Amino acid sequence: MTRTTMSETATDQEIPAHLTAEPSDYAALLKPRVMSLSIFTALVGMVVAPGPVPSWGLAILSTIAIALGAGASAALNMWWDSDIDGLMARTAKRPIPQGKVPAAEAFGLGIVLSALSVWLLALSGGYLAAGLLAITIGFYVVVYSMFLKRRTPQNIVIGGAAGALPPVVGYAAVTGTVPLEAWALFALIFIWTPPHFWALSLLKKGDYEAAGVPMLPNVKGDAVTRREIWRYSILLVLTAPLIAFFPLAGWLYAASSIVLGAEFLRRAWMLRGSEDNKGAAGLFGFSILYLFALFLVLLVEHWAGFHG
Amino acid sequence: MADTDTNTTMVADTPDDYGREGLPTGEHHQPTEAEEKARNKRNIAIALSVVGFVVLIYLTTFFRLAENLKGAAG
Repeated sequence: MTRTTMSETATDQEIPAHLTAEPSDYAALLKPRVMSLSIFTALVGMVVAPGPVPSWGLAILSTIAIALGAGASAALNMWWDSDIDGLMARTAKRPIPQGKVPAAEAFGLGIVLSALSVWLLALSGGYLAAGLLAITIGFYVVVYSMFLKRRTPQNIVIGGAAGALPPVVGYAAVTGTVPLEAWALFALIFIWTPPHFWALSLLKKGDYEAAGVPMLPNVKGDAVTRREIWRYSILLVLTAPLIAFFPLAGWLYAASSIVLGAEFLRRAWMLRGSEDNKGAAGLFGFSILYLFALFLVLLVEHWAGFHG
Repeated sequence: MADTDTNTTMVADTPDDYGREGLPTGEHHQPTEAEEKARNKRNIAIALSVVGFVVLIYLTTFFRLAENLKGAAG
């Protein structure tokens, strides 16, 4: 806090960054890009559920609640990781390491948003969806951020469950149930997460080394990471088409998952054979496109009536 | 640091000591123009967020009620 005596003026002193924080700095705590993926997958979860969406008004409000929940968990994650975010180039520009937002305020924002998002979803989507959202936030913050992230190279494998839950929450919000087909969408994102993040960690292992985060390349080496990416890619490419056996997907999804899966495998194979991690950036970028495209196809199928 | 006399009364020597003892220090913070501008923006954002949340709850009640009425009629 800048303090001056009556005889001094504040302009004589350097202004602490948090005194000039803009609302956009607080919005950045919510990781809008990650939030957008949660919104999209949750929306797809709602649309692919059997039957027409009972009320689009409630569905949109449920989507907003899920988005707020995703933002809340991001703010709490930034609060918890504020000691290491400043050490990594990828996260050094976040509002807390920059001094724009005090860590305690990020914590407060995260807690308030968590409570409001769960409450809103309970009203708009029912108690099952709200409970699942609460579990998602708790899993991401407590299980992933607090326990797994700094302890084990399997952090993102187990922690990926939090990122995989939004379509299940969406499904629950419109149906009040979570049958096996909802968990098939969960499985798709859950298995997609390791090759996606390990490709990134190959590129950013210096960052993780500096922060002491035991990502797979730092603990087991690049060769093991490339091999694990390959293994998980095979599992992903084999799992994705299986969703077509459920009524929520159709032939267009099946064909897309095979074509996109072949390209995923090709990139993972090229990366596996490279000594200098060439192709890691390409695989990382393609993995985002892959997941987005598959969920988009599910959405299109439902609007066009191709599913089931 | 504050001195303590025989009656254990706190006596502060510097403005910082006053602050520590919870005594008025005579200090104040005069916000700069940039700070005031940023604070106003944050205040407006908080106000809009609160109003936005009230609207969300209102809409939720409205749509939930409409669903229930539709269910009762159907």
